[in-house]
Formats: sequence, structure tokens, C-alpha cells
Amino acid sequence: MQYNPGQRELTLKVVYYGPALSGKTTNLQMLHQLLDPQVRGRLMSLDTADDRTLFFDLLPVFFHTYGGLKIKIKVYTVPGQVMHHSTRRIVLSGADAVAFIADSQLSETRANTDAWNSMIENMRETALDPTATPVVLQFNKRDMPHVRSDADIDALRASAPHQIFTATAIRGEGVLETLCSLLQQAFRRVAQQHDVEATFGLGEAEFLRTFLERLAPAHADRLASLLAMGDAPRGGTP
Amino acid sequence: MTSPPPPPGPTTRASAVQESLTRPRAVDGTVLDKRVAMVDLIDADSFRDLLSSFSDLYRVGIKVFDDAGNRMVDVRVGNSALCGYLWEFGGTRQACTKLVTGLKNDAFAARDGLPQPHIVDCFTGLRYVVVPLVYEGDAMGRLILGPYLPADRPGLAEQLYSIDSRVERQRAELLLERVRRAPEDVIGKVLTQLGRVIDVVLHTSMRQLLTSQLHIMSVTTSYHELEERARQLREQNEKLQELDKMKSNFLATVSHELRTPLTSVIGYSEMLLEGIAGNLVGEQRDFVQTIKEKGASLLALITQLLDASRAESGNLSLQIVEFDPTPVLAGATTSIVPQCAKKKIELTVDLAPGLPVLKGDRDKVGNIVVNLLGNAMKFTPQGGRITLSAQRWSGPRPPRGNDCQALFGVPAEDFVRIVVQDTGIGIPADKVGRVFERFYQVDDSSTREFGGTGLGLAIVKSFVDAHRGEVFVESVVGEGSRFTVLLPV
Ligand SMILES: Nc1nc2c(ncn2[C@@H]2O[C@H](COP(=O)(O)OP(=O)(O)OP(=O)(O)O)[C@@H](O)[C@H]2O)c(=O)[nH]1
Ligand SMILES: [Mg+2]
Repeated sequence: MQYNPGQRELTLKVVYYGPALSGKTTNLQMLHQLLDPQVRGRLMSLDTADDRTLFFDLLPVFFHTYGGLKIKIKVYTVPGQVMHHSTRRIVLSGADAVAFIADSQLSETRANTDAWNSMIENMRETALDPTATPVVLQFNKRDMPHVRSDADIDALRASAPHQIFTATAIRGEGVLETLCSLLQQAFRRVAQQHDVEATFGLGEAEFLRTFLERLAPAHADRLASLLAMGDAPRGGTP
Repeated sequence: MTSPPPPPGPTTRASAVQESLTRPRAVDGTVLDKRVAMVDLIDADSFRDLLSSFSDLYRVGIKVFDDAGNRMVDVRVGNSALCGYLWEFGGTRQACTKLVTGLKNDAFAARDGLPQPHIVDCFTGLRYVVVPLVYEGDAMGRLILGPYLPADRPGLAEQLYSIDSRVERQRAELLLERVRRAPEDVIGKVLTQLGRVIDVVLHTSMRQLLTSQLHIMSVTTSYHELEERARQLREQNEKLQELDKMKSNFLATVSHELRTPLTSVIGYSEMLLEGIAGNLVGEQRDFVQTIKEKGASLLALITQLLDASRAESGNLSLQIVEFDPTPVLAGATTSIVPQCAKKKIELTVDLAPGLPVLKGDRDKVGNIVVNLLGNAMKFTPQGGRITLSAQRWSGPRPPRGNDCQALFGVPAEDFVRIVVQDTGIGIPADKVGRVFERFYQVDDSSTREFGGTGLGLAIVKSFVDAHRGEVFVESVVGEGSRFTVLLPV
């Protein structure tokens, strides 16, 4: 996070983490499609010829609040392949919030677990406090057979300290929900450290409303009701 | 006098890379968050070429300034003559300077947080459009298109002639003919096109920059991680070596503790045999004799163990003296003479006269030969032959394969060469290299058949090494082995 009241600028960094091929890049591609070109820049993918992320994907999102604060959000993905360990760590460093994109398929349980552990370890290594950094969990690929059941995930929701979403990223389902929740938590974390509200009249509700205004009304309504639920969040810390 | 500050640009960047390479444990994502100046992002020459071709196509001048006011591109079309002419007069020059300063620096009005382009009319009646260059919400600089004469204007502004009375109307109007007349919709199109192209250029350059920076970062991080791993391995290795040393020390202590009582056993047996405690009769004598012999061979074994563990723990201390090797070599043979007789082995000793004086440990050199002869004895069958020979020898040390000796040759040195040759079972070619390793037995059955600890040759090797000498073996299975020791003179 870079907060610069003098230049009226707030930059947030959110990172999509997860095992290889879980759909992190797909999430960003869908966000790129779903967001109004007024609020997002080009999607930058540093990848290989076969579409595997090599360094990262980056989707910049930016908008202005009524209080005149420029919000810049950098949405990154890390490369999931095991060999890109050090790159993951570099991209993760300094994140304000993390979306963990898990693959719902039962066969991927092991990969999910390994990636989760590596995320926690990398957070420690990059001086991110794993207990204080918000993590939003997305179970992707709900359209596939042999996935964790909805009942399973509901049970998890009741007990886990994280916001949990289901998604079929390839169809754009659950993608905006994950991002909005992620931004909400990232902002909440910033607001704990800086008095953005006093300086720019920007509270969490205002922040989210400004962002939602830039979305198509259908999305905005759906997300607004979701985030109203989120006003009484189930905590944000693992 | 103070030295000037270091120049910006590549030098600073190179040193930043240097710094990140030397900094321990660099995990620094801020490389991704740094704000980049346009001059660092775009190759100025190619950018100028690109905009020149635009300028040629539409015949309008283009200037680009970065966020800090540095001029990156300045392509002039048509207006140079007119502007040059007006520059000649104080009044118009002043007005021109003021205009250009404004073009470069006037702030953009913002709408919804985004800076908006604006139009600037020159005092001549010509027009400029100033466009902010924005990349992902960040102002990177500005592009100035013009001057052009808006199509709906008849000609130069009247006020021009009142700014400086020396400006001649006829001349000015002649020069105006070279300036582009453009309808606003054409200018609008040019700007849209240009904006798109510049956006692509900025995006591509940014992508390139991030790729290379991340590449450097991940290589650096991997490097530091490997270095850390190597350090851990080194530490582990040191610990293991220490453990090894402790083990050797322990062995040395134990061997010593075993030797002391054993020496007593042998000593008392000898006294019994000498009849000091009364004469022994018949089987008593045989039994005590056996006790003494077995005790002696046990002592020899323990001594070997002790020597080996000393050599291994680096505690080998040499009593360096100058000595004549001949009597030492001759003396060594006496240790196997009785066994030779028993096994009907023919022992030939061939010591060249006048061997040079050696500088070293007399006992250890004796030990080398005793061990080699003992080894030969062990593996040579009944009726075989063992030869000990020694002579002065000049020549190169045997090559070691993996060093530069093969490339540059080996200088000749002076040695005493000691050769022990036997007609024993020989050593298979693939085992020859290993016979000097501790506890190595050519095959396990040899231990049972021939006895021994497998330490004799390892001791030979460590003693020879301590004398900076060489030892090697040549062997033919079934015919025999030939051990050569070179001790430098
Ligand atoms: N069936 C299905 N496939 C999906 C879904 N989301 C992503 N995929 C597919 O999964 C594959 C991998 O998706 P990516 O988004 O490239 O995965 P990634 O996590 O970025 O992978 P790395 O960059 O290697 O870490 C692609 O073939 C996607 O089309 C989904 O919701 N359902
Ligand atoms: Mg990817």
C-alpha cells in the first residue's frame, strides 16, 4: 500500500495466489471483461507461449472518489507452477489482501494444501503478517465433476475465519464477488493504519459505493447486497 | 571543490541492480510499485522516428515533454520559417517565449479526476492542442500538436502587427503559406490515432521493463536462496567433520587403553617362557608360547588401528631426522623372515648401494615397508616370491588426472624408489584405485581367508602422504602386485 495524502493518492495491492492452473489468470481475464474500461487499464500478462503465467498478470484498476482521492488498485496474479517460487514471493510482497484461488476438484486437494502452506511461508518471508493480512478464499471450477460439495463448502464457511466464495471463473461467475470482498478487506486494513476518512471523507461504505458505481447496474446491485452482508463480516484474519 | 553528483540514468540503474545483487535475502516487491519516468520507459530515438512519421503524414508539428518538463520529441513542420522570422523582433520573441512556457507547464483541468486536453491559441492566430499523456491514471507527460491554422480562420491575427511594429505583413503572410491549414475534425482524428499508438507504446515498454526487472529480481532471489542452502550444507559438513574427528580421538584413546594391559600380558608370557617363575614343561610351554604369539598379533592389530586413527584425525606427528634408508629397509625385512620360512616364500632384497640420505621419520618409513611386506606376505601363496628393492630414481610423479599436470607436464624430481613385488593373487583393475582406502578389502572373503583389518595400506598411504611422497600399485590378477613408493630426497 502507498498512501500519499499530499498527492491525494492511495495505491492498493491485491494478489491472486493459488496452485498451478487453478484459474488465477482466468479470474483476471474475466475482471478485465467485466469492468468498465473507464476504471481499468490493460491486462498485462507476462506469460509463456502456452499461457502459463511466467512472472505475473497485472490488471490496474483506478477511480476517483468524491473527496478527490485517486484510488489505484493493482491486481496481480502469481505464477502457480512450483518452480516459480521466488517470483511468487516477489509478487506477493507488500500485498494488502490476498485472494486464494483453490481448484474445487477433489483431485487437487493436495495441490491446494501445498499452495496454501507456501503462501503462509512466503508471507512470513516477506514480512507480511499471515494473521493480519486478509485472505479471501475462492473455490473455482464449480462446473467440473468430482468437486467439493456445496454442503462441504457451506460447512467451511460457517467455521473458517475467511470470506469464502464459489466461482466458475471461466464463465465469469463469482469473479466480481471475490474482487469486491478483497477490495473491501484491503481497504479496511488501510483504514486501520491511516485516517483516510478524516482526510478525504472516505469510509469503507463510500469506497465500495464509488467502485460499484463504475460497474454495470446489474452487477452493482448484486454486489451491493452481497457487501451489505459483508458489513458484518466474519472477520478478515486467518 | 565538491565533485559533481553522479549522472542520472543508466549508471544509477546499474548500481541499483548491483546493490540488489549484493543485498542479502532480497525479497522486494517494491520493484513493481515504482513510478517510472517516461524517459526511462521509452527509447527516445524510436519514439521520435514514430512521431516523425505521424508528423509527415499529417504535416503537423509534434512535441512531447515528460512529466518533469524534459523535451523528448520535437518535430517541426512548416512553421519554422514563420516562427524564425517572428523570433527576430523583441516584442514577438517575448510573446513567443511566454506562449511556449505556458504550453510546457500550464496545468490541465481535471474532469472526474482525469486531466483533460486543452487548446492554446498563439498570438499569431495559429493554434496548438495540448494533450496529457496518461498511463493507467498516472500523468506521464504531455503531447503538443501544432501549430496549425484552424480552417475557419482567414489568416494571421491582426494583433500580431501591434505586438511589434517591425513585423512586415507581406513577409509574414508569405511565410504563413507553408503552415498547415487544418479543419478541427482532422486534428481530432490525428489526436485519437496518436493517443492509441502512444498508449500501446507505453504499455509495451512497461511490460518490457517489468519483465526484465522481475527477471533480475527472481534470479537474484534464487541466487540468495541457493547461497543460503550452500551455507547450511557447509555448516553441516563442518559438524560432520568434527564428529569424525571425535570418533578418531575416541578410537585412539581406546586403542591406547587396550595396548597397555596387552603389553603386560606379552611381557609376563615372555618372563614365563624365560623360566623366571620356574621352568615350564611340555604343553605348558606350548600354551604360553601361543598366548605370547596371539598377544603379539593382537598388539600389532591394535597398533595399526591406533596409527590409522591418528593419521585420520590429523594427529600424525613426524619425528623428522636425516637418516640412511638402507638399514631401515633391511631391518624391516626381519619382521617377515620367519613367516617366509614357514610359507616357503622366497624373499629377495635388492638395495642399490649408496642410497641418498632421506629426511623424514625413520620409524614411519620402516613402518611403510613393514606394512607393504606384510600385505605381500598375506596374499602370496606357498612357494611364491617377494622382492624388496630400492634405488635412487629421477622422474615425474604419476599424473593425477584431474589437475593441470596433464596440460603443462610434470617436472622431474629426485626420489628414493622402494618397490615391493609379489607373486600373489593380484588386484582386479577396477579395485586398484581403492586399495588405499581405510577398511577396504578387495572382497569380503579375503578378510576371512587372509585376516587383517584392511588398514595396512591406508596407513602406508597416510605415512607416504605425510612425507609428501607417492605410492601406487600395478597389478595383474593371478600374477602378482607391485607396490611402488616414491619418497622425495
Ligand atoms: N472448467 C473450468 N476451467 C477453468 C475454470 N477457470 C479456469 N479454467 C481453466 O483452467 C486452466 C488454467 O487456468 P489459468 O487461469 O491459466 O490458471 P492459473 O492459475 O493462472 O495457472 P498458472 O498461471 O500456471 O498458475 C485454463 O485452461 C482455464 O480455461 C473454471 O471455472 N472451470
Ligand atoms: Mg496464470
